Amino acid sequence: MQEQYDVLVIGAGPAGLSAASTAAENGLDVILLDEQDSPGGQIYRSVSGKKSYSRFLSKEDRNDGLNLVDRFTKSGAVYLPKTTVWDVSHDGVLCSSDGESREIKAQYIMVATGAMERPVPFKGWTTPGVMSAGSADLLYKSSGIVPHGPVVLAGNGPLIPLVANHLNELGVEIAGILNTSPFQNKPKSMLRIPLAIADIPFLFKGLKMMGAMFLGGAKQYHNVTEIEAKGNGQLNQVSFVHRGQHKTLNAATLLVHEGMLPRTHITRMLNLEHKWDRVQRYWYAKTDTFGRSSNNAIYVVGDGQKVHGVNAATAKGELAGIDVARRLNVLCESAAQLQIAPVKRRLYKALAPRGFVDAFFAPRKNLFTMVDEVVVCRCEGVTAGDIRQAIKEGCHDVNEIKLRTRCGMGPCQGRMCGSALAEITAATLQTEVPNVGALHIRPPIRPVTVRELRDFPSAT
Amino acid sequence: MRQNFDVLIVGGGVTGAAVGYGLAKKGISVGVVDATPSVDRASRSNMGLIWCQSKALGNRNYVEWCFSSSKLFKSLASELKKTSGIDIEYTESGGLIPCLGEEEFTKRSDYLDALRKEAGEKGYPGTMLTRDELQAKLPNITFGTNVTGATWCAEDGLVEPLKLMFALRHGMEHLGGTLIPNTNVIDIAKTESGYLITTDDGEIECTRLVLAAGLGNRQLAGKFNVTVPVVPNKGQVFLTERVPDILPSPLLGITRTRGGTIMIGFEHEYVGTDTSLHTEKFCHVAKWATDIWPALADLRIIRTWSCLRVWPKDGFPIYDKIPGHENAFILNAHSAVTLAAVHIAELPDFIMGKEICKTAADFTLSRFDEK
Amino acid sequence: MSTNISTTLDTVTIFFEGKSLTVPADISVAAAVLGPGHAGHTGKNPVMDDNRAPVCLMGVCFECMMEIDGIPNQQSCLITVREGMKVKRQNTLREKY
Repeated sequence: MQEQYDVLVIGAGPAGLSAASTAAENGLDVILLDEQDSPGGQIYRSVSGKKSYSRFLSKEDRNDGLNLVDRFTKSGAVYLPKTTVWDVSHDGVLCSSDGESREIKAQYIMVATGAMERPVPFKGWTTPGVMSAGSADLLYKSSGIVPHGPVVLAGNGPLIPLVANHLNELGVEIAGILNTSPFQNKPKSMLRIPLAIADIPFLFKGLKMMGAMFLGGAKQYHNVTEIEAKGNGQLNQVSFVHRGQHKTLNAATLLVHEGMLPRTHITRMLNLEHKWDRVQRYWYAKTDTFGRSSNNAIYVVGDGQKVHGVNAATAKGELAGIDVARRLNVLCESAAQLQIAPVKRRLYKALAPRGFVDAFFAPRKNLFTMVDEVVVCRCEGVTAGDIRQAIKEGCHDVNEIKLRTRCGMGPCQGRMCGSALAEITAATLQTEVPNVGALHIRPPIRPVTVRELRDFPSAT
Repeated sequence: MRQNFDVLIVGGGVTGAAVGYGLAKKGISVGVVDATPSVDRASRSNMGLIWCQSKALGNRNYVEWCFSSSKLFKSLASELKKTSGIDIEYTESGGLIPCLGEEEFTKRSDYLDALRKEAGEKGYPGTMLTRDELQAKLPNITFGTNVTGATWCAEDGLVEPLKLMFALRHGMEHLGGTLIPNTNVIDIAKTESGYLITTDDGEIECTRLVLAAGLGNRQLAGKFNVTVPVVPNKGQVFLTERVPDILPSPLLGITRTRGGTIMIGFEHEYVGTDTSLHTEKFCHVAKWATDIWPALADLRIIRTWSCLRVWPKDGFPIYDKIPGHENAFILNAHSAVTLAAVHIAELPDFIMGKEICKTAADFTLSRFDEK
Repeated sequence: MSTNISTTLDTVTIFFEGKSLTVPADISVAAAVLGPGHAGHTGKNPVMDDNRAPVCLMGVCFECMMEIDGIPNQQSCLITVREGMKVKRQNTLREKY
């Protein structure tokens, strides 16, 4: 049994939902596959569920999320939740749900896999109790559960004040906020303010968040270095250096955040053309305004292409949906143009402050200068020292280092160590990240059982 | 700055590194140039079997060549530990070829008989195991109902192939050899005293030149107007999550690494240089593997890869001088891991001008002309 | 990790390391064991043999792997609790063959 659609969308976040809705509304047969059990992506996780812990979203944000889901539900697109895509080709995907794999074909594929937080290794980061700030956000949004206090937040990026605010409101003790952002970013980012003014509500929201952080009363430490998570099998302390002094805070939870990256496993597996963003320091799939990638049949939309935030992601999804309808001749060019114009305006408005935000929250220079004993590859227990030793032995490409050290060979398939591996390698070789290669990504990009392969329709 | 070596080896895979290691051990000034990762690299995709049994009926020399290498591995492993600091995880595991159905069992049994007959007085170490005997050897595995038995050979073994390659390279450097990684050979020219090699990172001079670049030898030998009869032969491997030590001996196609992962793969395909992964192939292999060992079905696949084997057209190695050149050599072997130990022992002298040992004397380039 | 701030919701009972645990229906296994279950850690790393717990809760880090209803190495952040579900910490290698 083979399923065939006009458009297959991977990911039910803002970009995927709006892409699928737009394409389906224009008359195409659309299927949307998502790993989660309900639509919304990470930002609107569980927004429509009956539990609706989404009260932690602001009212407007919740409405935006519900509208996206509502529009999608009415669009006629087929929705396949709890489904893991493990292989993608130009004309279809292999995916798994409830322990069974199948193939779904489509003329066009839209990768809308969103962003993830940049994993940055530091001493003790494998200790239970250390989590990403975003995971705390997901936890209360999707489960109504908050991390055990006292909580220390550390890092750089707009998510830190956001999460600190929510936790504070929920009565969680915040022991301290460790800001790792260097002062160097501030003057540079100020150059970008004029553009940012085009989206004053956005700027205002950000400033409000930061303002509220101070009102929360948590002690803040700026320009913090040498953060270390301590505890034998469970976190109990966070130590760091502040103004030249070693300090320690008692903590049950350490939430870290060092910015966002597009999730590129699928786009890299497809060998799409990628570019390196020198400010935000990540790889992203090259696309045009409509999300068309270097492969004619593949679109990449939303934060999975470039991290521009929810409003941009929604607009990018819509543009891709319009474009694919145009290409499949269910929408004439003049009608397409009518649809495109207002979406483009929304997109440009959403993009206006990004230069400022990206520069303000740019990853600091010494982000990956960790000492040798820091574990980089959590799955295989490979340290920064192991990586540097392999480089000394002549391994100058991340794939070669992977073979030498096993860095990136574990179950997460390099998702947690890939960017650190490249950064450490580039720094050691005194070159730029694009010169040290990128880990090869091969199917299955999610673990799939031998049984699923055995029972796969084409095998029999 | 132009580098200069007595011997320059082009190719830093298992074969090139093994010969480089052997030469360095003899105190010869040796350099090994290894290309950037963009080229085909069979040594980086190996399953690590030291495999001697049930192959090469009709070529007694090759059979002996393999067994003699296997015998050297134990001491090589401890030697490499000292010279490189790397444990190549050698295991005297023996090896098994599982049989599905009576017909396959009979076929395997007949093949072993023929090998034994060919070996004559020297004897042949492989034997057939009935299903019960196989079960006794691997008591923790519940075999599929269609498994009828297996061939067994105690002289097969297992290494971690990546560690073997890196140990040879690293060990060679410790012994005074030079590894020149991430460097592509662009041109080769004959000079009065030897060869001048132009790379993308400068020039290298050498007295003796060894081409050990696997499939890359075809292009390199072209500089000498020589055709190397090796073809790409594609294999696909998948690797599962870790399991406890329940498979002390590899089943050909199903191997447990010391780290605990299970590697599965056995297909051979002649598909040119296409290395894309084909799910149908994996499905086929998954079916075969679970027919032998049904519990594998529960394991999750963590990684997959494919690669091109270096396949001399008749399956046997090539060790020869480039026609018309006294000091330039071509080395190509499919079983680079299995043969690594004997390559270290025997090939350096050959490179340095001695006759190759008798067992390997037939592995010439010219044998392909005769056909 | 602990406080459950939810109210007036359906619940299910799961078994974490043999002990029964009443948790909100349709939350993830990872959330259930970290929150109501006070698990602290969800498993051990097979290479380093140290305690691990989820980092991302969105299917990226693979640190939340647990044994769920007898099946090892399941990403507990991607699986919703079900009545009667048996959940155990992932202790390095799979046990069953």
